[in-house]
Amino acid sequence: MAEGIRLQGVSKIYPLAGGEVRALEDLSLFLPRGSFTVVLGRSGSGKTTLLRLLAGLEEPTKGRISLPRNEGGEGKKPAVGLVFQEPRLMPWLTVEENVAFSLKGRLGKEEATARVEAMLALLGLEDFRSAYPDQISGGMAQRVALGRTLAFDPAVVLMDEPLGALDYFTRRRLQGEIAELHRRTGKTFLLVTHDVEEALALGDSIVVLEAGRVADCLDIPVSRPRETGRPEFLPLRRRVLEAIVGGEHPPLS
Amino acid sequence: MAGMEKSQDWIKGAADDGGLLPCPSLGFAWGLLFPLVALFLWWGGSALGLWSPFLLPSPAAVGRAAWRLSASGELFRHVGASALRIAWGFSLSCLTAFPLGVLLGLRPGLGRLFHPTLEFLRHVPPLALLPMLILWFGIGEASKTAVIVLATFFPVFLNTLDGVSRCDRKLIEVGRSLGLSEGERFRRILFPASLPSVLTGLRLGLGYSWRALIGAELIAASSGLGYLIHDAQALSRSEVIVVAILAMGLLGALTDELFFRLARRLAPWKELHGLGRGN
Repeated sequence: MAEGIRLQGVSKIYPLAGGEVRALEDLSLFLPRGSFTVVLGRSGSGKTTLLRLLAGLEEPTKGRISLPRNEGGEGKKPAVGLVFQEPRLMPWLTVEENVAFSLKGRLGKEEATARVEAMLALLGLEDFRSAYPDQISGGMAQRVALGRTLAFDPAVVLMDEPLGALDYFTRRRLQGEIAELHRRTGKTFLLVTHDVEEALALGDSIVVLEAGRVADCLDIPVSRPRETGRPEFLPLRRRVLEAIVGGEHPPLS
Repeated sequence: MAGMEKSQDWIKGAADDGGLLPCPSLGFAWGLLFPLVALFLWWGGSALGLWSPFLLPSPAAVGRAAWRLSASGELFRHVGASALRIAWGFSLSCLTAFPLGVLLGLRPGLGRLFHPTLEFLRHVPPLALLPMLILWFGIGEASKTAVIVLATFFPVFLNTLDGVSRCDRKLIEVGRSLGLSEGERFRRILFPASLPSVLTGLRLGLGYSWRALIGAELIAASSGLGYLIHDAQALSRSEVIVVAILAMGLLGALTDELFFRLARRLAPWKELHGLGRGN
């Protein structure tokens, strides 16, 4: 079954001080069901706009977006779950209550409790269930946000640079956890980042955005977990960088 | 426990005294230091005859008066009358100020419609309106209730408005991304997010209500603690005046403490400091 995310000629234009900003222009993409796609690009390339359109937080100015349906027919359940750049946890709720936040009113109490327990176990948060968001680390907070999204079992999981604010070691660990979550859930994952190494480590395919258009689209034919320092990643990294900066990336100083 | 980056001291109520107090574990007992010193000085000054008992009666005379007023039930009758007025006025105030604060917080454009009127009313002391309120509502309960409503409306309204308008819009967006309806977003995100601010407004309003009520009862009442003071003044019974003042202070502190405990129970994630409270 080829059901997945399909964008056809999608454009998004924001009015700005008498003029306009073209965040996305005539974007057409197909992301197969169960795939892990990474959208890569510089700041202002349209990555976050793409996610907001897919999450239904904004409407495209032009074009059409079709998303996979949810299974189980849970009435109000959205097809996509979005993990934001910051965890955005409810400060008045504990870790456990934050994970359960998306389930209230949708599932029976017993089913919701079982789902939350499963999420806490999956994300290693069982010992912190009673902690409030300001009592846990940034990495753990982002895991709670991931749990809140996965708990309601969306068909598509969107992630907007969820690891961007974390330190190198936490980021590496969570990258591994996200890859493992994708493997275990089999859901369609779409992650937005500006980190080339992260894109190479996680994506089945990488979509490079530049100035609101697709600059390149490449598959990563390497199984996870990946060590991106290995020689087979060199041509892939070069191709990605060329797509972003036309091969003229600045030297490190 | 790894990951627990902040202590839970504020939940337990431990206060940071900056090392000034020699034995912080005594906690609440330190707060009795100044009242006890004041009582001792008051007792000593009275015993030595440093001032006339007419100007400030001795603690013993005040204690006798308190006993007599309590035993006859007169003190409780006046306390009950004042408390009932506050309950009415404060409830009415909350029923109007809270929805209006929410409405203007959610629809800032409406603020332009209400802003000049509210700013005008905010700067008029409620007691200045009392003569007009007596003309409109008579000398009965309505005019005193109106004074309490006017005194408590703005702390509740302004803090509700502040809480709603400062609610993190990113949290609201989380609700949208999870498919919550507008009503659900209000109930499950906006309301709890603004609750600490609303509770602060309610606490302030409750404090203001006592001040305004006593003023109103001093001018136009036949019962209540303000009336008790007014009556004692006419009869030159200064010990009764002191009893009424102490009753007001104790009632105010008691209601504030109860409210503070309720607030901490309703919003345990938030430090409800301020208002002179260290914990």
